[in-house]
Formats: sequence, structure tokens, C-alpha cells
Amino acid sequence: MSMENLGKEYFISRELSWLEFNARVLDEAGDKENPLLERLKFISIFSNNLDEFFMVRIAGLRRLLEAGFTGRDPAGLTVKQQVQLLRKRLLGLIRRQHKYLREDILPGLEAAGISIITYDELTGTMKSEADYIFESQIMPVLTPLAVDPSHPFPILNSGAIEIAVKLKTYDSKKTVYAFVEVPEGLPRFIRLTSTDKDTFIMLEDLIMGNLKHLFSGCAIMDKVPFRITRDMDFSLDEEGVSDLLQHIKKELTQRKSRQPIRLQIPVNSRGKLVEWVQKQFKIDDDFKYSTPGPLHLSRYAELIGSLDRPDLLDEPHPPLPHPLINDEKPVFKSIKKHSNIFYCVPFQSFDPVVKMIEEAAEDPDVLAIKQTLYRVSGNSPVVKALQKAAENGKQVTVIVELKARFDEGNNILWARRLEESGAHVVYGIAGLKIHCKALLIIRNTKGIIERYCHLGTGNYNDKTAKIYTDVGLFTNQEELCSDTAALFNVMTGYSAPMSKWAKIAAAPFDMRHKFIALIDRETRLSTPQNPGRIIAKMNSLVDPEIITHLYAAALAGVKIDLIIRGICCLNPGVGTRNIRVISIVDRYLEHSRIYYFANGGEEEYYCSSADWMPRNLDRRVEILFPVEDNSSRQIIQDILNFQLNDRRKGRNLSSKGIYSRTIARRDGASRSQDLTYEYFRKKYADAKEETQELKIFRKSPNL
Amino acid sequence: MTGSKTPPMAAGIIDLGAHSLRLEIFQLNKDRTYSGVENLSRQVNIGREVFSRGVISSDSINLICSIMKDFSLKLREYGVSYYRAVATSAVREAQNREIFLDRIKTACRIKLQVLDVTEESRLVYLAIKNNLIKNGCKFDARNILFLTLVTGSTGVALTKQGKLIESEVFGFGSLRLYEELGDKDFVPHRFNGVIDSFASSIDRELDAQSCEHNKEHHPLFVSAGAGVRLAAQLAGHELVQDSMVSLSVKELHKVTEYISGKSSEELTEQLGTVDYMIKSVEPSCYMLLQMCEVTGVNKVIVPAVSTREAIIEEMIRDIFDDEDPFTEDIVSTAVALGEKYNNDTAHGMSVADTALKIFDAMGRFHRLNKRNRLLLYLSGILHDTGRFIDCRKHHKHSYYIISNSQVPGLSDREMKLVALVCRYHRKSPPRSNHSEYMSLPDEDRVVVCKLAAILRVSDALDRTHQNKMKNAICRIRKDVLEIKAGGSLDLSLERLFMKKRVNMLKSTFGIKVALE
Repeated sequence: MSMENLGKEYFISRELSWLEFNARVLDEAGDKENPLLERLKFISIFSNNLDEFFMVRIAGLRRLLEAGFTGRDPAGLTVKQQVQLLRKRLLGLIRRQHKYLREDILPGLEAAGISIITYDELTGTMKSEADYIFESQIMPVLTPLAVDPSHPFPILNSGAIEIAVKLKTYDSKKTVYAFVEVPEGLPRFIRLTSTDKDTFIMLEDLIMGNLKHLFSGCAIMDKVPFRITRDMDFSLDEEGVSDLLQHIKKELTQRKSRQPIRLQIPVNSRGKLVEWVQKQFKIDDDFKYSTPGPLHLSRYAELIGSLDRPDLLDEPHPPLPHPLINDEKPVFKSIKKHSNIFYCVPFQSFDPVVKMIEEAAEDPDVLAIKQTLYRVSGNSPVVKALQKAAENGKQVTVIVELKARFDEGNNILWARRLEESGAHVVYGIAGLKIHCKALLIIRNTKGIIERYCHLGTGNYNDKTAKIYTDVGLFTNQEELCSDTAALFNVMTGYSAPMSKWAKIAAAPFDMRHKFIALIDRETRLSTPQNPGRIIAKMNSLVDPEIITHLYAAALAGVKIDLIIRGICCLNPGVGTRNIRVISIVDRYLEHSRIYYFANGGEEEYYCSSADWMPRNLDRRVEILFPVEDNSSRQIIQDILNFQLNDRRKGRNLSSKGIYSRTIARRDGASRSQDLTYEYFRKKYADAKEETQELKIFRKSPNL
Repeated sequence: MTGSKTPPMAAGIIDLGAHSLRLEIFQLNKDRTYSGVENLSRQVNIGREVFSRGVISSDSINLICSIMKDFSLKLREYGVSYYRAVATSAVREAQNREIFLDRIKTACRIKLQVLDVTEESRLVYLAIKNNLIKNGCKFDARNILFLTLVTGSTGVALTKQGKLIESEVFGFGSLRLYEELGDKDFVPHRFNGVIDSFASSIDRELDAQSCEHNKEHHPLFVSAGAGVRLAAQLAGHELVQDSMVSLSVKELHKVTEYISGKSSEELTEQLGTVDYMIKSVEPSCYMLLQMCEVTGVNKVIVPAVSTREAIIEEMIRDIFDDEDPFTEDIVSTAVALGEKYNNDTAHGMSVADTALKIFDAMGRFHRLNKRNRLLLYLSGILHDTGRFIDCRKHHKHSYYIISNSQVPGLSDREMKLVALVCRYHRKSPPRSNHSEYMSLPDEDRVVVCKLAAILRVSDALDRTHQNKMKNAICRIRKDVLEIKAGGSLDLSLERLFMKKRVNMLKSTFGIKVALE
């Protein structure tokens, strides 16, 4: 099937589909069976996601609008139509978000002894305490910015809450405007200790209540909080830039002056000051959002961190040790023993990955460590271990992706630290984002070369490994290690890409071709008696070419299950019932990419760092690797089965582009993330029991 | 070559060709097996530069230095301390090769060795021979024609009952025409014409050298080279390590037809190789077809052998301290060379044998290595070659015949040493006005003097061409070299001639000679 025969009815608009994903996140905030603080977390995630969406996608659409772009997306929508539909849907979602917060969550928290009170509600000792905190801790870091002809219009940070103030000077009776930024570096929720309960006041509220201290000599006529979101979709012209690092630093400093894309202002704020703000930022009504409650809800997650209320959180699932990894021995030894060790975070622990790098740093037989780093946590143990290895004289090569969105500042910092310790830091390939997650360790033991590699779907980030579901494989399989080494050679510029890999496929080289060949093979092998089967789990499905081939397969009888957390541009159910799309949004962010092809009985399982999106297949370095040992394949199959049968958090996508919500209430026992955790817990318990029995058996003198 | 050599170990080979610079790191095991660990390849275009302009450009030198630095890091990454870095045709012919080699050495501490054409053919020949034997070919029972088509040159060799009797290298490679003429000027008929004349010249060589080579008893035709292997792949054959395939004339025609209808992009994708290698398929096919026609054979054997694998095998022989398996072939080619110039082979062999006996007895005086021993032996075989031209001054005629001949397995330097040893087997010893001698480095001059001194005495001992020294025993007693011919032979003539020839031995080693 060629692209031309696939009409717009087969596609869903990418941006609308993303918004539907965020709506599913919001559903979790509304799910009354979720503990209160978990619901608050989803309120925060919803807002955080939306901020990024505005900064990048809506900003992009607006640029297209300004450029007079008249094209349509595969779903047949013009840019203007997309912007209008998005706004319409967004207004409803925002209303829902604030309703959940105002009517359910905050009253629920209040009932549980957690209050957020306004400045006006403060009385007696609490007010004195709050004012004291303002004077001693907050006021010193505030910088009011006057707006008058003698000063250039101030450049306000994107994302921070600003307070616009209208003043009248006592002496000259002149009207003056000023801005006060609510510092992002201070806690958003300020705990008041002069009460028994957990009582907080919000930072902006406390500042607004004390504004008079900032503007002595002036009468405060009006004040309004607002928030500006700026366009951050910058693309680098790497070809013409010799020092990528330098360029990004420059981009970071330029950000403040980028174009405002959204103005958020509380819903009841009216009057001249509001008009003045809107005029100053040149934002027309389509990009002004009246907020029916507090601003900047993404920072509500801070409240969770400042409370010690496990009763209001999900039951903890401490990451489980891996039954095949012996904690008392080096990780290499376990890999050597089992050849392949497959694991799944956050159900199983990410620690062995860190431990392996730490051990490599100290192992005298280790000669070299190579690793890709995309997003790492602050104070990352991975970076520390790599530093240590470099200091110990190992050849450490780190391929750093500086362009991991919104993380550039952090990345530059640790990249420099690694360089200083003697590691060879490579800043990616011009024009391509390094997104694959790979680690290769080379040992030379008495003349024998041993290579160990780790390939995964998630970043080398110990923090996100506790909240994202990802899979990974430790292996010493020669062909996988060899391919990984060759891929590193490409990324470091040591060698041209391989024309044929032994096991893997890599983007942007042959991955697209490989996926299409795998899909087409199912089409070819499918018969009415023995239909082909594809299960693909990913974050987003956008690529029109892949969608076309999937539809061709479905029309040829191939049964296709797509487990897609986020954007899905494939509209299922057009002319065939062979495609089912489900989405799981639950306590952990679904992040693993798993691809299964029945291949006429010779089943193939793959894992990848890539989604089926043009950016992954064409503009990033990605890896697709097969999982070939039976026990790992069984684990994948079991996890996929849990997900396909999740009637609690799995939502079906209908042919109208709408996700079901009702299923979510039906069957709590089928919740896939709970089942997966239980599955690994049992595996570990069984293995432990077996080890105990073996010890008893060995100890028994009569046997 | 560097580093310790005790397997198991990681070893490496860097190979700079006309179009690519490659590094292969391999694991060598105790049982002599090896497996590739990493294979890096970067494109360089020195072939075009050298074949058309004669020099390697400054940009290319900088690029190669930077790649070499990467490779050097890679060697460290695997703890490789033993590696070989070689360059072939393009560097070999570059006018600025010394400067180039020095730049590489200074910038990356990698000593790049330029492989002589004959050395390259020797290595490939040995690898092919091993491959054929592994694949059950009765090497000793067949006459085999070898054609090695590499980018910058073409090697042809012929064996008769397992012995190498002819080997030549032509400065005509599978890609060279493209480079010299440029893509735009390349036209197949022009190319065909060159190949025709080339194939005929090979056929004439074969006829001239092999009296039994005739059209009724076709030799086995074996060919190696990247273009040839790709042609086999296009014909649907799979060439895995150590294997070989048979490619018929019919298949060759089909491949030629197939590639003429395809773009190089399509072929690149199909074969999973780089563009410049694709370009070598067509000329290789034409060359093979022409050779088949000229020699009357209807199939070509293609072994899975490349120059790189051949060098790895050589490294393994070096690591395990093996005898050079090519020595026999060197000797048989030298004998064939002598016969080409109507040498008295029996006399040559007799002189060579005696020379070895003296050489072995005098170890503590000359302290020369096994390779010098071989050079002495070859000098014994070839010393009278110049008689083909004239008896008078035949030592001088020997010199220029030998120095302008090729013996596979001997480098240009070694050929020159053999030629000079033969040059000094009679008449004047080396003098400061002998330019060909004076152009040698000091250590080589000493080798020539020592070997020529022994050769002179050995030649004198077979002056009668009666092989009287057949059972001779040589030994050193105090400062006297005692040569016991054994039996009751009349040695008066030998004594007389020896007296004339012994001075150089005396002055070089400070010993006397006694013949009994």
C-alpha cells in the first residue's frame, strides 16, 4: 500500500492525540481510587506536560501560522484548525483540572489534616510567623523591576509566576508599573509551624500580602499574578557550528528573550492592569488562558515531597533484586554465568547497572567503558562511577547528548566534570540526536578479550528508573557486543556505519527499513488459518509510512495490538477490526519500547530506544536489538499479556479517536503494573527459596 | 610490529589501501584460531591522488594522521600491544612516501610499513594456498594459476606440482583505471582493450615459463581480490571465513550483465559495501573472463581470502615463531629464474649448499640471521645468471638481471642484497666507487661483504662443476675454517681457485681456510 491510497480518515492529528494523552493523565488525577497525593501528582504532571507542549508544539504551530503555512497534517487539518481545536479542548481540560483540585483534592487533604491557607485567612501567631518568614527569607531575594521610560522593558523568565503591580507614588502622584518575580528557587509551599496541623501558605500569596514592604513611598493600586510561557523550540544549525557546546550555552542565555506563547492569568482578574500586562506581552486572546485557580500547578508536586504521609500515597513497591544477579559477586560474573539477563524497572532494581559501572571503575582487567548519556539525574551515580573509572586510567568514552530538551544546562555541567577527570566526551553527531541507550565494557583478562554490554529502553538515570517502566538487557553475546561496539565507533566518528549489522538495527541507518520489512513479512506470511500477529509497545506512533504498512498488514489479516502510552496518529478501525490500540497511564510512566512479530511461528522479540516517529527513525541515533533467549522472551510475553488485558488502567482507542474511560473502573485485579510487580516479586521469592533449598541440600551430611 | 607475543592475546592490524584505512582487532587463541573483535573502516582517497598526481595531498596526510590517532586509542582500548600497520599500492607509489611515513610516525607513534608488491603477493599466495588445502584441494598434484586483483596492482603466479615457478606483479589494479582516467573518461571498450593486452601478456609469460603449460591440460584458475569476491556474492555465492566457491564463466557473464544495468547506489545497498569497492567488480569480471578465454579454463575458484587475512596469518606465524612456509616457494622461483637464463642449476645448487655449510659453521663470526642465510642460498643459486649475457664480467650481468627481477617473498631490498652478493662473487670486492654498493645503509653493506665472502669460497670449491663438496663437513677450529670434502678426491684445482677467492673471507672475518 502506498501513502497515496491512505486517506486522512486513517490518521489522527498528532497534536490532538498528544492532548488526549494529557487528558488521560488528568483522568488519573480524577480517579477517586487513587490516593490523594497521587492524584495531586497527576495534577502537577498534567501542568508540567502542558508547559512543554506550549513551549515546543504550540510555539511551532504559531510559527507556522505566522509564516502563512497552508499545508494540512495527515489527518487533514490546517494549522489554524489545529490551534482552534486544541484551544477548545484545552479550556475544558483546564477547567476539569481545577475542579478536581478545588472540589476533591484540596478538601480531601484538608480532611486529612493538610491545609493550604491564603494570606487573608492568616491570624494571630500564624500571621506573625508568615510575615517573619517573608522578611527574613523571602524579601532579601526579591528584585522588583520598575517599568518606566528610563528602564528597558524587563525580560521576564519563562514559566515563573510574576506579580504585576500598579503603584502610585506618594509625592508626584504618578502611576508606575512594576513586576515582582516569585523566585523559582524558593519553596512554593511555606510550612507554618505555629499550628499542630500541616499548614502551608503559598509563596506568591505571601509575597502579594507583603508587597507594601517592597514599594515604600508608593501606594499599591492593583496587583495581579500572571505567568508567561515562551517559545523554546530552537533548532540548532549544527552543520555550521564547530563548537556545539558553545552554541548551546548561547542558546540558554538567549532563551529569556524568546517570544511569549501563553499568558496565564487568574480567571477573575480584570481591569486596566490586566489589559496593560496583555498589551505589554503582545498576546492576543487566542493565547491568553484564564486560570480558574492557582497558577503553575506543576509545582504542586513539591507539596508531596514536603509531607510525610505514606497513607496518602500508593503502597510502596520497593524495586526487587534480580534473581539472576548475585549481589555478593561482581555483576560481570552473573552475566558471564547466564549470558543474558533481562530486567524491567522500576519493578526490578536499576542498581545492577550502576554497580556494574562502579565495579568496572575499580576492576584492573577493565580497559574501556563506553556509554551514551541522554538525561542523567543531578548528582548521578553513573557519572560519578565514570569519573572514577577515568581517574583510574580506564579509557572512558561518553557520548553526551546535550540537546536532551530542557536539560541542556545540567548536561553541560556534568559533561565538563567528566572531561576534567580524563574521560573522552563526545558531543554527538552533527544533526543527529543520540538517543540510544548503550553501555559497553571491555575487559582483557590474561589476553582474552571479554565484552559486556547493556542495552535498554530507558536513560541511565537512577531517579527516573524508579518511576518509568523500562526494560534492559545485560549480555555478553558476541554479536550484540560487536554491533554495539560498531555503533559506538559510528557515534564517536571512528568508523563509517556498518552496512549490515549482525543482530541490531540502528537509526537513522537501517531501522526504518528493518521495521517495515518486519511488518511486511507478517503481511506476507499471514493466512486466514494462521493470521500474522504484531504487538508493539511504545510511547508514540506518528510515522505515516509505518502507519501505512501497519494498515496494509491489518487489511491482509494480521492481528495488531498497539500499546501506545502517548501520541497515536493511527486511527484504528477504518475498514478493519484487526488493529487494537490501548493506552496505559498509571502510577509509573510507561516508557519501554517492545516489538513482537509472530513470523509464522518463529517468533521474534525486539526492544528499542525508538518510537515509531519520524524523529526517532530519521533524525536520531537509535538502536533496535533482538531478545533471543527463551526465559527473557517469556518475561516479555508475560508483561505484554498483563498490559493487553489491563481493564483497570488500559484505555481503548475508538475509531473516532476517543479513548474509553469506563473500562478503568471495571476490574482492579487486572491492573498490569500491579500484576507485573507481583510477577517479579514471585520470581524473586521462588529463586530465593530455591537457593535456600540448595544450601540445605549441600549442607546435609547424610545426602 | 610491537609488543609482547604470547597468546591468548589481543592483536591488531592497520591496513592503508588506496581508498580506505582500516583497523581490525582480533583475539588470537592458544590453538592459533582467531576471531575478529572490531573492524573499523574510514574512507581515504589517496588512490586517486597518487595514481593521477603522484603524491599524497597534505589534506589526506592530515586526515590519515587523525584517523591513525583514533586507531591508536582503539588499540589501547583493547590492550593491544602487538599489531602490524601496513600500507599497500597507493603509498608504495607515492613520491612523498618517506615524508608521509614520517608524519604518521611523529603524529601517532604508529610505524607504518609499506608492503612491497612481492611481499603482498607472497602473503596472499600463502593464504590462498592454506585456504585451498583446507578445502581439500590437492595442491601438489595440480598446476595452478593464481590471479590476485587488488585495487592498485595485479599479481599472477603459476605453480607446477605444488612448486611456485612463476610470479609477477603488474602495476595494473582493478580500480586503477578509474583513478587514472577518472569516472568521466571511463569507457568500457577502452578498458577492454587494455585488459586484452594485459591478459595476453600473462598468457605469453605462462607459455614462456611453463613448457608443460598447454591448452589441453588447463591449470586450476584461482583468483582473489575484493572485486572478485563481490562478483561471487552477486552470483549468489556465500563466502564465509575459510571457504571457497567456484564461479563459472557463465556466471561471470551474468554478473557482468547484471551490474551493467544497476546503479552503484543499488549495488552498494545490495552488497552492503562501499561505492568504490563496487567499482572494482566490473573490471575484475572483465579481467577474469579474458583470462579464462586466454587460458581456456571455464571456471574460477574464489577463496575467502583478503590481503588483511593474509597478513593476519603471517602475524600468527610470527607469534608462534614458525618457519617461513614460503621458503620453498622462494627457492623454487629462484631456480626457475635461473633456468630462464640457462643457468647450470646443479652447479648453482652445489655452491648454495656449500655456502650454507660454511655459513652454519661460522655462526659466531658473522652473527647473521636466518633470513640472511636464505639470501646467501639464493645468491648461490643465482650467482652465474649473468653468463646468459656474456662470460666476461658475468658477475656484473648477474647484478642487473637479478636486481631487475622479482622473486615473490623477497622485498626489493632483499632482491638488491642478493644481486650485490652475486655481483661480488668474483673479481673486485666492494669499493667506494661502486655506487650500487655505496647506496646501501651501513648494516646492509656489512651483510653483502659477509655473504659475498662466503659465496666466493663456495663457488671456488665447485669450480669444476663436479659437486665435490656434496659430503663436505665444515667446522671452525681456533681461527681456521676447516672444510673436509671427505673421500679421496683430487682437490688440487679447488685449492688453486680457493686461493684466489679466499682473501675476502680472510679480511672480512679474520680467519684462515683449510681444505682437506
